[in-house]
Amino acid sequence: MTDFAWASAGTIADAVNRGEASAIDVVDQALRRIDRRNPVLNAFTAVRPTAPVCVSQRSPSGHSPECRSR
Amino acid sequence: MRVAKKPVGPLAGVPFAVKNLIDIARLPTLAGSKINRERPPASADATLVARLEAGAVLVGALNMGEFAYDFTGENSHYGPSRNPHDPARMTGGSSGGSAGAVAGGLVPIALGSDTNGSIRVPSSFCGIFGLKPTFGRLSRAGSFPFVASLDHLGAFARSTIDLALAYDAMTGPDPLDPACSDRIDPPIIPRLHTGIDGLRIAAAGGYFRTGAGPEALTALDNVARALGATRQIEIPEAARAREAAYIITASEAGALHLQRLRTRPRDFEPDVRDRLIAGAMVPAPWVVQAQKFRRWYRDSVLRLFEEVDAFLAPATPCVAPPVGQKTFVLDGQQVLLRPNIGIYTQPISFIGLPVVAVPVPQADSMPTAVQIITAPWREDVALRVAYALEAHGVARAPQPPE
Repeated sequence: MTDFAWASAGTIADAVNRGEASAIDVVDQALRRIDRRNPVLNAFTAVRPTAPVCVSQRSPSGHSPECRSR
Repeated sequence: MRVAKKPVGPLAGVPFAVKNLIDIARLPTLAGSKINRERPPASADATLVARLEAGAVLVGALNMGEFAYDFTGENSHYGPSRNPHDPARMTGGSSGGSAGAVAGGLVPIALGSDTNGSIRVPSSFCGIFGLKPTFGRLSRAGSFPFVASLDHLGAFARSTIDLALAYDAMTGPDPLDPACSDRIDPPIIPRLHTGIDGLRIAAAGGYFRTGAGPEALTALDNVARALGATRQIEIPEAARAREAAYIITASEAGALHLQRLRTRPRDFEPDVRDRLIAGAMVPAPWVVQAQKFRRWYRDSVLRLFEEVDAFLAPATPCVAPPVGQKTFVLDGQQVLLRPNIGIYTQPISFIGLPVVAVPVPQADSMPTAVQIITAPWREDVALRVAYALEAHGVARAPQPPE
């Protein structure tokens, strides 16, 4: 699948609207990236894996369905 | 699952995150503090979050300086947010996590707040685009206040188009925020490409060049050159505007936190506590005078827009300092860092003018940003100028190494 880490919002929305990417996959990627980079950057204080489109049971590192706070 | 239907629209499936003074349903709105852990979780999403969620997907809450009284992005309760271009350096604050998340490629769009510079300073230190709209343009409903007279919500992105997409999705009246304007202007995206022909653009001189380090001046001069902005204008009494902004900031924030300062001072971050206590003791005549001056200053600056459509100023006097640094050299003087990073942003937000901060990468240096400042309600002009600078190549959000 396309790597959306540095993709613009416009690029992501176009891909989702055209059916070339699913919102679930895009958000899944973002959550994995947050998991990997946040220990260095300390930008997030809470991650919310069950965001509106439901990042499902496939979310990385077995997030609980509720919000996960540090 | 909160929304079963497939996301659609101009932000379909776009992950975004918000500074943790903006309510997220079922999460506590900590505003970077320890004290707010005792508040119940937010019962609903803030207005701006709900509007973005029409297509975009909220993925989390972002680190910030305690109660937003901060220009560094440091936080002793939750640890400092770190600059993706060099994690040993500050992000700037107080929307530090917002800028770090966008500059580090964790999300393409983040929301933050700006009272004295808290969007524009981290945009500068992290090298990304930031929009602080006109005071009253975006709803503040569902956000934790800092200084009601000066608080703005806004956005960060790595391109002008993304900034405009987020902005267009968030504008509009909101009965839940009495300060939010009833104005409805057409969306900006369709006009972003219309160019800058005919726009009169000047650089702010005098106060807005004094103390600026070499990177800040180079960025400003590169932007002015790209725009053909040869003219300089003087902003009258900008230094006094900054002082008055501080009087109003300190007194309103001191009043907001007074009960907590009295009953549990030790639960505040020490640097913030000291400023809040000082603020709670500001004499009322100073505050009244500051508000009177504010009207005079606003009228004076608005008159300048009869001659120019936009003016330019540095966003910060320097590039991001190392995390933990307490002082820096400003105009040859060693001064405290925390209160002095916003010298060029405070005189602008003081009267609610819209600003786009555009990042200007430079070889062998950390990035820094330039403010594009326009008349009230003319975010469209500021974004068009930013877009033109990006097309020219002078403005760009550099991708950091990992």
